[in-house]
Amino acid sequence: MAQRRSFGRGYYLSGLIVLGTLLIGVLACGGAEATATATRAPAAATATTAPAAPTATTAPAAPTATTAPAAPTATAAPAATATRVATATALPTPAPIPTRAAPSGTVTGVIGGLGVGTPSGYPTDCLWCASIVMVGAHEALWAVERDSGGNPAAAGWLAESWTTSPDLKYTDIKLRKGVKFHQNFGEMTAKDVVYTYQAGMPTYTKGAVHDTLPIPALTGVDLVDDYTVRFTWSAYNALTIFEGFTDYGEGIGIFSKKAADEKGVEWLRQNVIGTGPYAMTEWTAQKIIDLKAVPEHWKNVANVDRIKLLEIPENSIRKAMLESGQADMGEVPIQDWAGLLSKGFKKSNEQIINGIEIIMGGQYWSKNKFDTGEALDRTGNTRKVDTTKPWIGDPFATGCDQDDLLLNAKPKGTVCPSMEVPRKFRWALAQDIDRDGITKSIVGQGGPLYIRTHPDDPIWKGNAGASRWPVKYDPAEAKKLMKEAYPNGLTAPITWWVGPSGLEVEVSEAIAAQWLSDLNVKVEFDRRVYSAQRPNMVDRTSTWLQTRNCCNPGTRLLSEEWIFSSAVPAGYNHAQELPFASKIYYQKIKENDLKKVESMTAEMIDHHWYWMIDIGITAPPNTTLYNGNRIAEWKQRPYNQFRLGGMRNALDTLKLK
Amino acid sequence: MRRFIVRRLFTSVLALLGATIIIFSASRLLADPVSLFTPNEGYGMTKEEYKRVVAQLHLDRSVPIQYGYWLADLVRGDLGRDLSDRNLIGPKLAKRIMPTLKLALAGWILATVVGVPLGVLSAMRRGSVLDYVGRTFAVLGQTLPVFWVAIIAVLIFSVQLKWLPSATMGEGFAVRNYVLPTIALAWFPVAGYVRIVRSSMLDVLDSEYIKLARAKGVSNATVIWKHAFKNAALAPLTFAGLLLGGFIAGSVAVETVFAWPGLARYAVEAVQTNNFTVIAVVTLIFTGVYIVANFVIDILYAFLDPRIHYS
Repeated sequence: MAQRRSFGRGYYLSGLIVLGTLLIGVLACGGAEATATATRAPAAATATTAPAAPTATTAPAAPTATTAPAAPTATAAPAATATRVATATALPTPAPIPTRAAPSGTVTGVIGGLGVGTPSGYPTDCLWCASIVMVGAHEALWAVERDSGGNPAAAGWLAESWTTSPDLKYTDIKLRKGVKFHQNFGEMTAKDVVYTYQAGMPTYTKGAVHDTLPIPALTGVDLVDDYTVRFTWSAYNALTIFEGFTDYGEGIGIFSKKAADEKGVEWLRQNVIGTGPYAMTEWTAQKIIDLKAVPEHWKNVANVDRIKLLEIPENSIRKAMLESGQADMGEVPIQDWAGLLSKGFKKSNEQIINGIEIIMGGQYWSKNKFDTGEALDRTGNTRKVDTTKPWIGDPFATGCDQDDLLLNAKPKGTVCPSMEVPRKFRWALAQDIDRDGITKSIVGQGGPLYIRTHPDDPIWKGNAGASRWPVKYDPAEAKKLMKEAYPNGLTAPITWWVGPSGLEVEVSEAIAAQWLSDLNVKVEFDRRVYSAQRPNMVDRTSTWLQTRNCCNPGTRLLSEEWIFSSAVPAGYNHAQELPFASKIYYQKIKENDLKKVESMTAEMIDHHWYWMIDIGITAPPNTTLYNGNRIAEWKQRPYNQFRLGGMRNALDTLKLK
Repeated sequence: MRRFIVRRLFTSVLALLGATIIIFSASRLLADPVSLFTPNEGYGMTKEEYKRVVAQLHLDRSVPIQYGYWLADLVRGDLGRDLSDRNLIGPKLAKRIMPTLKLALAGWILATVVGVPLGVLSAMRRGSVLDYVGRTFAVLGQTLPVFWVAIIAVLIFSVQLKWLPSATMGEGFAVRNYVLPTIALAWFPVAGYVRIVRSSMLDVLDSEYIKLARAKGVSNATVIWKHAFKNAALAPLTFAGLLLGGFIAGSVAVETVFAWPGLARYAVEAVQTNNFTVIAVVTLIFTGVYIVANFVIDILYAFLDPRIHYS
């Protein structure tokens, strides 16, 4: 009997196996593609020419690293720059466009990573909520557009008009009427704007985490009437709105107060209610941003009914999805551009130049906030000058004249050893990088970058940057400086965060090999993902080298000094708190004379160059490619940072063939 | 048998409890968890805010008391919040677990239905072309990295032939989206099955009772499937159970290459960002899966092998 039962189980097992085989057969053969967007890969088309490389810059004859640069010549502001700044806030608000035909079709984009996390619909904890604006679900008060000269400038978006008081103390903003929130949450009014800003600003709401809302210049947001809001400023200049409140940077959109009142915080965290041409139906990290066109919109009813932005971490798979027609547009490594362009893909009309640079982290040279004198160190923040790291200078050591070292563009007196030795080491590293070779052999496009400022930047050109801020490739000089700094060499490796993969990793590995060969400097790479090391940059405890591949290095007129200073309570920081950067920042945000702004910027570059704490490497172009056989038109607006794979604005202008 | 099942259930619960202690303790060995609450603006936390977070996380109490709070929350179904975005972990897990389970099951079925028969055939035709094919497949399966197999499969079947989608789960039950990830996931274990089944079958086929069965004139199919395979099935069964657990817990490469929004990628991201609340919960799930798999295997042993008595 037992034998019979066992025999039965044997056949039962065999039956299971057969059944499984059939199931797999069904899996392999059956079913239609559910993805509505799958399209044929584009047929080969005329090869598109690769973008022109930035102007080649001949490596200048460099002074020895310890030589201070010649005194700057008087800086006349280049006309183009002056125009750009002057028109930055002068664009008229565009008139609403007549309603288009009903949206149809789906466009699928593929992105390496959607960002640090999933944005919340609750403004108080909405970290990275500028991304909601970028995908078109939210709208901000101002948008960035190109002016008649082709320069990026602020234009009214939800702000219909605005007037700044003659003393620059406040701006009254008239809001556009008839703007409707998604899901029937009513018309946007001044109450929504006040709610958004007050819920997002830590000065109003404890625990607010937004990246850039704590712009120190904005001190108050008040209701004037149903359609008017007053912004009160501690400092205001021609670039304040452009820099802090448009989607060029990280200007945030307007949240619905009614949704907050009716649904509560927990619901808001899961649901994003905005006024944009697309309603967000899903945003799941590691998966998808799913957007559905709203049928009625005050400005543009989108052409495409649905946009799916998929997070695909593998470069080769993103490329495969584009080639196989599973995706229509995507973020692909620069090395893959030529192949895709030859198959009919096109570049977006907007490109940026990324700067790949090495940040010499850990230069925490500030002990107090520059403007208030308030002590910086608090519980939960263990920032310190780690003198065990050979690249970190210590201005607080005995014998250092801190005022001279930290508050002048370049020190006038003798530099104490605790600052001079690390400086020589940094200069040795900087001069042992073959920028032209790396650009040509690894990147293939773009041009070299010497310091943070791009050779195409008007400030570089206007100041003859190649001679004022030279950084030449000179291994012999590098060895000499290394010998002077550390005669016995280094025993411990230097820690260098590069991230898990990408162009910046390839570039860093090449440089590390050269440093090891020429200077006997060993490197220990930290390959964690960006989001893993970001908290240390936010709380200012990072004390390692970092390779950054980010952002347009050609916008130096903006008051970006906050990134490497303790000037503003914005979390993100380059692991450097330079008192001189704070000083320049506070001068720039209050200055309306553009020539003076340029002069201040040049002084900041002097400081950076002298101390060599941001080593430029190369500057490749960056853009999004799209399937030209399927997408007829996409009119992107300018942007400064390649977030969301470059698919970060004007999705409502996409038009299918 | 009933007593065995009850006892085994009891020890499984004990094992799970032990696992929670280890998981919780390990999560507290990571960096100061309060630092994860450091706001993105400002200069760290004020002392008041720091104290508030410490109290909220019960970090001012001893570790055993903290564990008690954590366990009580867990039993109540409160898995805590994801530190990356402050959202509840429960709903996020619910979204992640089904994609992983579906893929794991598909991969497990494929590996089993291909690997087991191939192993049996390889043993039956020892030294034949079929045997060499099976063994070659086993070697290739165990030496070629999964991510490489996955990318090559995408290049061939998606980019060149355009038969299948390159990645993602698709929408609804998009069967075609499962094919390549399933093959990639099953690639390595098929090789494992072939080796284990072949080896077990060869041992059994050499035994006296098989020779006796053949001498008695029993048909070849009956000898193989009734007498030999049943006795050789214990080792593959253990492999199959652990394999399913491994698929659920560790298909990181496949989920990454195919952008599969599953549990493994969520776990990896949590580890990378020191997101200890998520790490603790996900590790607990993985541990639970293995404990359940072992439990089921133990019971199946008794059905398959009458020599095994549970008393």
